[in-house]
This record gives sequence, structure tokens and C-alpha cells, in this order.
Amino acid sequence: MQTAGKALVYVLVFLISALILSPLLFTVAGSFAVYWGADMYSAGVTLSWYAKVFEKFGHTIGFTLVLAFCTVLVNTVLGTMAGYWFYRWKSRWVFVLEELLSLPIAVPGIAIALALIQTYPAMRASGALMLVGHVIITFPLMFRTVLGTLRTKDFRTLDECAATLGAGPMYRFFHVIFPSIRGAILSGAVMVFMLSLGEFNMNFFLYTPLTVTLPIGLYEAYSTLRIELGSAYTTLFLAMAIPLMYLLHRLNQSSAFSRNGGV
Amino acid sequence: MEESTVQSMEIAIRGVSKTFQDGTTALQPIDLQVAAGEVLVLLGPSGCGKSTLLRMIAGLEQPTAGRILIGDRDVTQLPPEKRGIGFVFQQYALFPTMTVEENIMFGMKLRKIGKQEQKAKLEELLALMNLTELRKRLPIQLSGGQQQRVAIARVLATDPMILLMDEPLTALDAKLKEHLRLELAQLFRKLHITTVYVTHDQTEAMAIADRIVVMNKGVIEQSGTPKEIYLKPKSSFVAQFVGQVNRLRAKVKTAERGNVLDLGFYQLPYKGESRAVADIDVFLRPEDVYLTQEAGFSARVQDVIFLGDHYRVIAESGGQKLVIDVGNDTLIHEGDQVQLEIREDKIIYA
Ligand SMILES: Nc1ncnc2c1ncn2[C@@H]1O[C@H](COP(=O)(O)OP(=O)(O)O)[C@@H](O)[C@H]1O
Ligand SMILES: [Mg+2]
Repeated sequence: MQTAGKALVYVLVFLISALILSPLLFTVAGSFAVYWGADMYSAGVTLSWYAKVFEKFGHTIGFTLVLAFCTVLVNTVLGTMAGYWFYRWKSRWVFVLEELLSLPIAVPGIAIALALIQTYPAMRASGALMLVGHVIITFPLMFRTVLGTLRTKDFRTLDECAATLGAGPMYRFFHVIFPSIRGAILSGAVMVFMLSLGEFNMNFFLYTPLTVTLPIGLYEAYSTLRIELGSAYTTLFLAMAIPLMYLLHRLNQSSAFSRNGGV
Repeated sequence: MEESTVQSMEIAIRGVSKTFQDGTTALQPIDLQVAAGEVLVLLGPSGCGKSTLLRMIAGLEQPTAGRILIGDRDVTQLPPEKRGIGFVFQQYALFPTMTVEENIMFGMKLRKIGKQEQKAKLEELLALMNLTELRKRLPIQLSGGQQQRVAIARVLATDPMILLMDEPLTALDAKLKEHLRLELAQLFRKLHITTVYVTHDQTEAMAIADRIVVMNKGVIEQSGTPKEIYLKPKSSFVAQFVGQVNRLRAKVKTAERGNVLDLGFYQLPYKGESRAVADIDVFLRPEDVYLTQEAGFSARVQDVIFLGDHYRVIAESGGQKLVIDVGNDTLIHEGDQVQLEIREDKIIYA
């Protein structure tokens, strides 16, 4: 009975994994086909789609990475600072404001994009508006991660202690709080990076010919060009995202460890 | 440490009160003066407002009303980092990512002290607090007692003008507590630094205080030397909170040669202040009742508890319970009928 139950679980896990992974595996496989028809490799195998991707979309990869890096940079500073200030702030309004700042998670990207276009039309051409949008939608991730970690331990006493030893707020933050929450900030940063990398919804409304991001390019490749090119593009995207996933996983493990040992 | 280089400061607390945002009044308006170099202990039960008062001196809480002066500087509006204080927390609060050395150096680095002098001071403090062997360890690699010693060294490293300690020994186990208590008492005597020390443990307070301030429900009940507090408590609260005490119902009665105190089972000359005839409560320490052969009054032994260096005996007479301490070589058993005498000058009329 028990073995049967176990076997059932394994089968289920296998089926679900297969369901999730098959489309991705097919896409990767298809990216090497000369022609992806009913029979995938009937026309032979090629790397030329990859060459085409770099030729046609190379700049979008660069732009997307720059955008994601900038988003991470801005949000690491903003989210961490905000988390710290919220943690220190003793008022019941904290909770109201906390929810407000987390709102972008619940609001659809389209709505934010349209609101941004209406509010700051002048910023659109340079791509700055896209950065603003990315900062807004990824901010809650960073902010919540930092605030959550701060609340798990008695950082308030450490902060107070540093103050009584003569340290001002800035010094306290960089020498006491920051070293203890570095793991959380890093994992927040990786999440922000991945979210920014994959964001489509909002980009779709904000991009200009000069600010095409990877997911927009991908959409174009699939919708107007060859499916094999799109597949190659997707594969490259996965090649960037999977190492990040792994890094995130490692970070979460190590911060769980430091939580046991810390404070 | 050589004679402290920084001049110790007096502290003046003027009409300071605290009501928290949620409406809890932790402290009624309080006036308190701490002399330069004095070790003052705030003693009281949990929740009486000791920590709140201490944290306001430190600047970790803002008073609702009143002013706080350190030396002749009004610090009421200053943040903790500008007050020149040292604060030792109950939970040690060592910086988890820093070694023992780095923890001790933390406050020193923020002051304009030369590198050489910093190093010398570090060595001195490591030696003083018996930490030299542990200098490279992280806080998680230390026992509670070791952690608290690091916390104390870290505070002393900054040459604070006043030292504030919030139940620094409460988290330690009994044996270690006793040991560190002695170390602290010696340290205070050596340093001559103005200290406000918070505890709910009266033994600890007795051991280290120059002066004890007993607090209850946000007010000061009594302030005095440990002896005054123990021998001449001014209120029944102080009498009962500090040390073991018997509470006895009594009547004050008039007689030809002055009033007498009638305990029901025994009569003694009345030495209280009030001249009126009344029902009162008096207090008596266990060590102020003793076994005798003649005179005195008779009581029945209800219970005998062996405490190592003495017996604690619970006796009953005229419906009143009396706890008394007798030597551990006394022959005494449950159910015995004994003669007892009271040191009448030790009766506490609070
Ligand atoms: N931040 C706070 N908010 C609301 N009430 C508080 C706060 N801190 C302490 N109190 C209350 O103030 C009273 C005194 O607390 P405290 O000074 O910590 O007492 P003690 O240190 O003597 O045990 C208690 O009733 C406590 O619940
Ligand atoms: Mg307290």
C-alpha cells in the first residue's frame, strides 16, 4: 500500500514536470532545426538561427540587460532604504503605506504602463519611462524581502545599540544592518533582475523602436518571423535565466543558514 | 583600566514622564538626581517602568514631558549617538557579523582616537574582561556570560560619561549571574563612572548599588542606600519587595507607659510614628525573630525547610504566620512547640 502510494506520487511528479518542461524542451530542440515541420529535423540541423538572432536582435539583449541592471541598482538602494526606514518607523501608518507600496504587484502592467504614458509623456522616447516602470513593478519584491528579513530578528536592538555607541543612522545602516541582511538584498536583487528581464506586459506599451527589450523582440520573432528563430531566441533567454534561478536558490539556502546563526 | 580618563557626569531627571502611543502610562512625572560617579540601581517588579526611564536617559525613547540633563547639558532633544553614553542591553546585542575585537572596536572607531591608542585600549579591555583568548571569535561562538562581558567591554571602550545597564545579568544562569555580579561590583568601584543599573533582582541591587531607587507602577517608592532600603523601608511595597519579610496584623493600644503594639499572641512597646489607636500592619524580617528558652511567646512549627546554610521555619501563633531563619545546627521539627522572641527595635512600621 505504502509503495503504491509512493509510486503514485512519483508518477504525478513526473507528469507535472513533463507538462511544464516539454514545451521548453521542444522549443530548445526546434531552435536547431533548419525547418520545424511535422518532422523536426527532416531538413537537417543548423546553428544559423542563433546567428540570425544576434544579427537581428543582438541590440535588444544588450538593452534588456542594461535596463535590468539599472532597475536592480535603483531598487537595491530604494528598496533597502525603504525597508530599513519602515522597520525603524514606529507608527500604525506603516502598515497602510506598506500595502500601498506593494500595490504594483496587484495592478496589471498595462494599467501601470498607460498611467505612466499619460503622466510622463516626455520621458518615453529615451527609455527612461521604461526604467521607471520596471522600478515600480519590481520595487515591492526588494522592499518586502528586506523588510521581512529585518522583522525576523531583533535588528532594532542592534540598531539601538549601535546608536548608543555613537553611530549615526547612515553609519548604522552600512556597518551594522547591511552586513546582516546582505543575503536578503542579494536574493531580492536577483528576483528583481529576473522580473525585469522577463517583463513583457508593460514593455509592450512603453517601448519605442530604440528601446526594444528581449521579450518584445521575442514576440516579434514569433509573430512575424520564423518559429525556429523565435525558438533560438527563447533558448538564449533561458540560458540567461536558468543560472540566475540557480543563484537565487543558493542564496535563499545560505540566508536561511545565516538566519539560524545570526543575531 | 587606569583611573578613568573621562570626567564622570551627574544626571538630572526633571519631571520626566512617559505615556506610550497606545495610551500606556509607563512613568508618572519623576524627579531624580544621580551624582557624578554614583552607582544608582533602579529596582522594581517587571513592568514598573525601569527600562522606560533608562531608555529615556539614553535617548532611545522620547519623554512625554520633562527634561533630562547630563552634566549641565540638556540632552532631551539629542539622539542617543550624541549623548556620550554607554548602554548595556539584557540581550547582549553583539553585532553578529563582527568578531569580539571588532565589536569592541566599533565605538572606538567613531571617536577621534589615534590608531595606537585604540590598539592599546583594546588590549587593556580584553585583559580587563578576560577576553584575550576569545578575541577572534564571533558572538555565536560565545557563551552568554562571555557575550555579556564583550558587551561591557564594548561600552567601556567608548569612555562613556555615563553608563546605563538594563538587566545585564538577567539572561544568565544563577551561578554565572552571581559570579558576574561580583565582577561588576568590583568594576564599578574601580571605574568611578556614573552608572544607572536596572534590575528586578534585589540581591543584585544590594550587591552593586551605592543607592537604590525602588520603583512601582511608574512612580518612585523610595530612594536610599541598600541598608536604608532594607532596614527602613518607607512603604509596605518596599518592605515586601526587598528581601523576605513577615507581614503581621496588629493593634496599637494605649497603656500607662506609652502605647503598645498588640500582635494578638504577643505585646511589645509601640515605636511607630502615629500616636493614634488603630489597626495596622507591621513587618518583620525572618532574621529578627529568634528561638529562646524563657520569655517571648509560644508558637507551633508548621514546616521546616533546609536551605543549606540555615533552616527556614514556618511557625504559627495566635492565627498569624511567621517565617523565621534559624541556624542549620538547630534541632527543630514539624509540630514542635517553641518559644520565640522578637528584636523589637527591628520591627518595620511602614
Ligand atoms: N513601546 C511600548 N509601547 C507601549 N507600551 C510599552 C512600550 N514599552 C513598554 N511599555 C509598557 O510600559 C510599562 C513599563 O515598561 P518597562 O519600562 O519596560 O518596565 P520594566 O523595565 O520595569 O519591566 C509596561 O506596562 C509596558 O507594557
Ligand atoms: Mg525592563
